[in-house]
Amino acid sequence: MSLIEKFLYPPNYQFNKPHLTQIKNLSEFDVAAILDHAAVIANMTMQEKQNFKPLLGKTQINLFFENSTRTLASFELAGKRIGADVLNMATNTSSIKKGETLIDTAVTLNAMNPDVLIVRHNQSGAADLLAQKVNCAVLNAGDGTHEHPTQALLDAFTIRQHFGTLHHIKLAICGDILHSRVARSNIILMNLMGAEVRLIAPKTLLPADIEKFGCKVYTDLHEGIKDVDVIMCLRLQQERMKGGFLPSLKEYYHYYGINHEILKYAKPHTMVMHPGPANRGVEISSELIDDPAKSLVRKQVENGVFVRQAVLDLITRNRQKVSDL
Amino acid sequence: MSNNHHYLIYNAQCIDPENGGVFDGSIFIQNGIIADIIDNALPDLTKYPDMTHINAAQNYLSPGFIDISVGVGGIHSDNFGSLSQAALRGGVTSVIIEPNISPTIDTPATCSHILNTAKQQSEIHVYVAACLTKDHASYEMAPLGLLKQAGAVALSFTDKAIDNNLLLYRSLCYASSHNMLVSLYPEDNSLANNGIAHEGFVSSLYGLDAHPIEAETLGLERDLMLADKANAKLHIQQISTRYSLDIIQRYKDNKTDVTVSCSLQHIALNEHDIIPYRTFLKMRPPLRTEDDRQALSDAVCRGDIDIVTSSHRPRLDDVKRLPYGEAEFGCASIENMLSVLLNLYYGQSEYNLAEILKCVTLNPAKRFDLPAGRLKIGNPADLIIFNADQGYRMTRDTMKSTATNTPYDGQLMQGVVTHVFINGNFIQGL
Repeated sequence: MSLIEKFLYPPNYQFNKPHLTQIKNLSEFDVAAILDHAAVIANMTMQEKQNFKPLLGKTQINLFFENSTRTLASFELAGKRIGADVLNMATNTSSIKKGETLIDTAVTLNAMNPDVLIVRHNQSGAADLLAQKVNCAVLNAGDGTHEHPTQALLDAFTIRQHFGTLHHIKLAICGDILHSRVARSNIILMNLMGAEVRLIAPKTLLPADIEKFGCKVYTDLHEGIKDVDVIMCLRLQQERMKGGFLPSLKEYYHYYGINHEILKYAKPHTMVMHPGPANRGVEISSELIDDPAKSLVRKQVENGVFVRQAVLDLITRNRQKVSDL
Repeated sequence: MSNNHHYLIYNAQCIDPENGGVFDGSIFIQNGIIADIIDNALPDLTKYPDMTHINAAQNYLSPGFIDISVGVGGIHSDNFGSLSQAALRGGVTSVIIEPNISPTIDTPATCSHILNTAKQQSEIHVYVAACLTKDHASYEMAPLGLLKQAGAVALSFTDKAIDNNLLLYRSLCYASSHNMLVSLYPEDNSLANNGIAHEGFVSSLYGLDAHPIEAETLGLERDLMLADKANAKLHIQQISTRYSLDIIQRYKDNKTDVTVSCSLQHIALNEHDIIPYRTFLKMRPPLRTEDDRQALSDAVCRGDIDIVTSSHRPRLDDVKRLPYGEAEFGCASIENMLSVLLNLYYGQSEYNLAEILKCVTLNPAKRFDLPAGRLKIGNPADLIIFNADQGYRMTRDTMKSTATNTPYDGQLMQGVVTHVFINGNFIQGL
């Protein structure tokens, strides 16, 4: 057994999930296994040891029904770095435009025997639906307002990298929580790993019974960011906002925009994150997002590739074992 | 159909919803009607040599059930033949078809056409609720008087609410002058906001658009207020929350002429059953909390909910095997009418079966003025015999309905219909 494998798979635990469609399905050991594996991959990459190709000869299909730049690029790069043959399905030119249903598309792609299918869709539950219908591993790259598990994993990775731990980290998630799959995955994951999660938003942007997720809810920004270690801004999803969530973007920035001035109400070491793409001057100021001393945004993007490499490796490894049986 | 056969059903536990009692007895069927009812379960059979003797074997005998909210028609759905097969399994011998099918039942011609087609294709009694407005939309009243003349037993606006308060009020007034019952689905469209799951922890966790309780209660208050002012006969269909019960009770106490129904699913299932994205359980209104389910279920026992419907909305897999948000609403549930009620109440309630089954026999018969639902000499012999103790596992592949979008797939069910008589005819091959 190689050094990597010993590190990843302690004798008493094995990552054994067939798909990754939601953080809800993971245990803290699963999360730790993914983050540890990502750390090893990050180290290897930094030392320019690029010969780790566990997905050599395997096929990865990126099926994106929603527009995406960074997630698609991140998954594509992650797959290629560890040796997979990567196929990007551009849904705006494919049969989906001709009225083919999600399941038909999936079944067709499944017939080409891919090893892993990466799905982004504007409907909650789309990835879970696909996972029932195909033989390959399904990885959710964001489904509606449900979950975006790899984003939460890379956020956790970034926080752990910066602070050394996730235990007792105070995280404030600020902004459009109602429409955010990133927020849902992050709340569940960070709670699972022993962090304290706060939510800050006007009530129109908070889902019902959100406090039952196990987080404290604040409508006042100053109060909410007091003593926190990390502030995670969310993008205002204006494309999903039809009718009266906010009076104006200007008013939103006035009360909930994050900038250097506001950070004075937090701790001196407080860092800022954003899953991107950011509306500069709406939820976060341009100066802050570009300030390397305070912003982890670039780190998030960089780590995204490592975390996705780790997830792809673990999920397809497990598949192989299942099919060998 | 010939009614020459005479039957003597003996050794039965007869359920009489009208008097709220269950007694050991025998029933005589002659010329299609109930000719006699005696409280002797084992009469001297030799005295009746010209009748076919049927031993009910201590099983229950009840008037056939009435289902007042059935969707059918169109390519996504049953035809009347498969509907009637499915209905018989659930012990249902009379159905009222909802008007929001294709074509919409909003003219006397469509109304008679549907009734004629149903007569040819179906073994059960099919009645029609016509549409309150043209095109099942919110701009103009349908020809209500003529629809009544064409055979509509009620006027309905279902699965969504009328957007225009003035139109609703005038339609209620007009229906009332023709002494017609109006059946409405209570909802405030803007608050409902195309929500697909009960607003709460589950909808938030699974990222589903939320449908708040107030979308129902606000629409309900409006409907009741306007019906009260118009002095109309109102039936509220498909309530889903416990708060609606209080509102309706207030109007009932105030002598408003209102009755209320809920669907089987809302007394049998709750919001957690939709996990993980089970589109067969996507329905209007959405499944609510366990508290609501319990409250509705208790209200059925007490009689505060007058009628229980299957809310049968058969949909083919093509429109159901989609992401939750894109799938169509509705489930095929008429086959489970008897078994869901028995699952819930048989042997588990302080009320006897005759009291429970009022909600699918006597109450709908009274409200919609149908010659059914009673165990009474002179009434048409629409009767079912069922074994309440026999269990079975509900599976999609054994369903009679063309569309098999059952919410009860894989569940253990209780109660099997063994015999059905419609107009005194013994229906073979259940």
